Amino acid sequence: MVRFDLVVASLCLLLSLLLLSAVDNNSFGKKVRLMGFLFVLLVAISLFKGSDRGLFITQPLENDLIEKRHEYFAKEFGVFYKNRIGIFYLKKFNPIFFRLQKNFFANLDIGLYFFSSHPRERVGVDEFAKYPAILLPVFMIGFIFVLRKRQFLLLLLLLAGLVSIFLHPVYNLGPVLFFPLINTVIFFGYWILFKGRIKKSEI
Amino acid sequence: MKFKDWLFFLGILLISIAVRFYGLSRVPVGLNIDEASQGYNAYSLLLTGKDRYGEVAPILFRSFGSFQPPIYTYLTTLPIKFFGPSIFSIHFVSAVCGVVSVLVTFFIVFLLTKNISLSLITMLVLGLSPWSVFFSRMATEASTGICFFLLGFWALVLSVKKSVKFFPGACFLLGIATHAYYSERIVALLFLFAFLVLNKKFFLKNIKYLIFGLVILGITQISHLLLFSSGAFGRRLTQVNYFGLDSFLNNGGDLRHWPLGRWLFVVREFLSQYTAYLSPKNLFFDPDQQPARSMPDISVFYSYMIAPFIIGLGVLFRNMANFFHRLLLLIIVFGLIPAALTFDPFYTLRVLVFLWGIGLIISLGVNELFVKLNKSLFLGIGLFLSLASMFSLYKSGYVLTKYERSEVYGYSYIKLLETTDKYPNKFFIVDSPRDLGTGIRMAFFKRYDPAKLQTLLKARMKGGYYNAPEIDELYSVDNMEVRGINWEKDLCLENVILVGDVLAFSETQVKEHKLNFEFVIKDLTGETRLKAYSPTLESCIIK
Repeated sequence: MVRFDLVVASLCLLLSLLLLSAVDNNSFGKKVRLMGFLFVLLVAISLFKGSDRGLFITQPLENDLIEKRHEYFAKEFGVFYKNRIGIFYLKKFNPIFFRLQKNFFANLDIGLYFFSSHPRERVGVDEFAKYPAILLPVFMIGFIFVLRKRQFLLLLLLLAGLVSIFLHPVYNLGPVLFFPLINTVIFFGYWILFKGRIKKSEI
Repeated sequence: MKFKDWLFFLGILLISIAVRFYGLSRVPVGLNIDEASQGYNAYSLLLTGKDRYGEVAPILFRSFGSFQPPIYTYLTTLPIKFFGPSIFSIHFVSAVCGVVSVLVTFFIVFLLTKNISLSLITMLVLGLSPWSVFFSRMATEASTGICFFLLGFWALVLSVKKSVKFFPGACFLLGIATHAYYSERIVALLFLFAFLVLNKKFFLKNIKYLIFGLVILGITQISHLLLFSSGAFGRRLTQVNYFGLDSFLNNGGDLRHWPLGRWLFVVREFLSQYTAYLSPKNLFFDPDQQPARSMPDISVFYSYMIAPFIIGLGVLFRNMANFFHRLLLLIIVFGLIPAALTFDPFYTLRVLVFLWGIGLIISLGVNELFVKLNKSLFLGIGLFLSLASMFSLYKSGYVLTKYERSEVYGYSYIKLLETTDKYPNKFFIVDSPRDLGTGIRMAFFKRYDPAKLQTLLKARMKGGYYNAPEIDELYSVDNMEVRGINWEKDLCLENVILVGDVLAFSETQVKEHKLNFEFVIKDLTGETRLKAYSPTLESCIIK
């Protein structure tokens, strides 16, 4: 039986190391293909193990709310709602779009990584910290550096975010797609703080 | 400014006014506990010069276990005088402050950057930001807080860009901001200090104005100093901070067994609270958990704004030598400190200055797109997103807030007043433990004589006005008493109707006590919220 957690952890580690070596030296070359392959593999495993199967299914409670809102919308929007487009948008499209957004933003939470989602813990979720809280300042410094000098890394953030739209927000392996990027950001913060390896002019 | 820019300016201003004032008397549909307290105090001040406890011109207003900063209440006396005591009058000051904040934002950004497109974009972003519109439509001291802070900020910038003569005015306005809302006590003073440090050469050259301004600031703080040892000054912070031993023992987890664990706990709490406000998930998707501080389905910014936010962050940090960027960073850093000192998660009301700063970062991002994109494409996307934002605001802030949040604003109790008019010879006992604002809300909507209420509340006040305020109070307003039902005595009273929410009367209780059904009050969604029963002779015998 395949231990997916071990495979995912190994992939994350490998991808992080490749990303670090490539970004640190600003020399991508052939590594891009390998990194792309590893990322796709990670995406495939995540989708296989943690895809949100309820994305297009309306739960009974949600349906009750939609039906109740149908009455308010009809009263308040009048003819703008009482037509095919209005009803499709607010009753069909909007709830699904809301779920897609929920999944997209689920992992864009600093607390999720450093404070076990504190102070906004999710109901019914066994929260755990992904990184020690002491690394938060290092992460912040690294993130500012990425914003200033390594903006292309944000592409990885965007890709991971887009894939997470289709992942269950409480996927049991956690936000694994974001780990390589966070590792890299922490690495930058660490170097700036303690080693001064990055030239002052570059900071 | 060119004619075209003036047109945009006026258009954005009109939109900002429209979204803040449209249906202000109808949505929110009532008053929450703090709004009702401020409204009645303003009404009482207007008629008697005293608040509801009979205190002449209070420095802080005693209210349900805490104290409310005074500026909002004093300003509300004006709309009450002109429009009468109504929902509109109480929300009016906030709406005006919201519009003033949008205007001042334009002037601040233009003065600092001389960039008309960025100034207009910022005005539009703030004008349509959900947090700004929402808090402009509810009576909250935080609205006056940010308004005075921004006026002070504008005067500060004017003092270094135009004439140092503005500096004393800036100090006065920032001093007033500290009386407008609790967060500004920290943010305004820290920001002023940092601003002086950033411009130390300039102010040292103009030392007379510096001293004069600081003296004025000092004068505005005298009343705070007078209250410092009374308990009222820090009452709110003592209620919501996590520095106490109890908090550590209850929430410290493993840190309870660590050396210096309590200190580490405080640092961890501070960092986690601080970063919660920086998380895109909270800023762009998850609303504030408290229904009274949020709209359904929408957070403090629209979800699409995450893209310009990230771009804006890049712009901000790429050019940190820019004076505007430095000030913006100060706003962001200081704006979170008050909220991070409290245990409430993502309490948006305490971080309005910070949210204003985030709005400016988003604007930086939008402006970057404006510079880089084809102008027609940009205007097309901009127009579409502005319309989508307005639709979203109407849907969440008007329609859903009206229906789904009606109880937060005591809608059923307001409807109860209409029903009680049909029973002029009956005496009502309204069960209130789950909504402490019921009594003051009734007093406000019934326009109950403040002199009578002052006599009633003052007699029950324990200790001095600024000491240990009561959380629960008994209100007796005309033919209505608002308090917990006394199941021993109340069942034997004649001509009485007992009113309570759905938890107040169980079916068994009604049967056991032989209560007579009178009426129910439903909320706007059609759900029963209040039930009314009258006791019978049997009720008294059975009890």
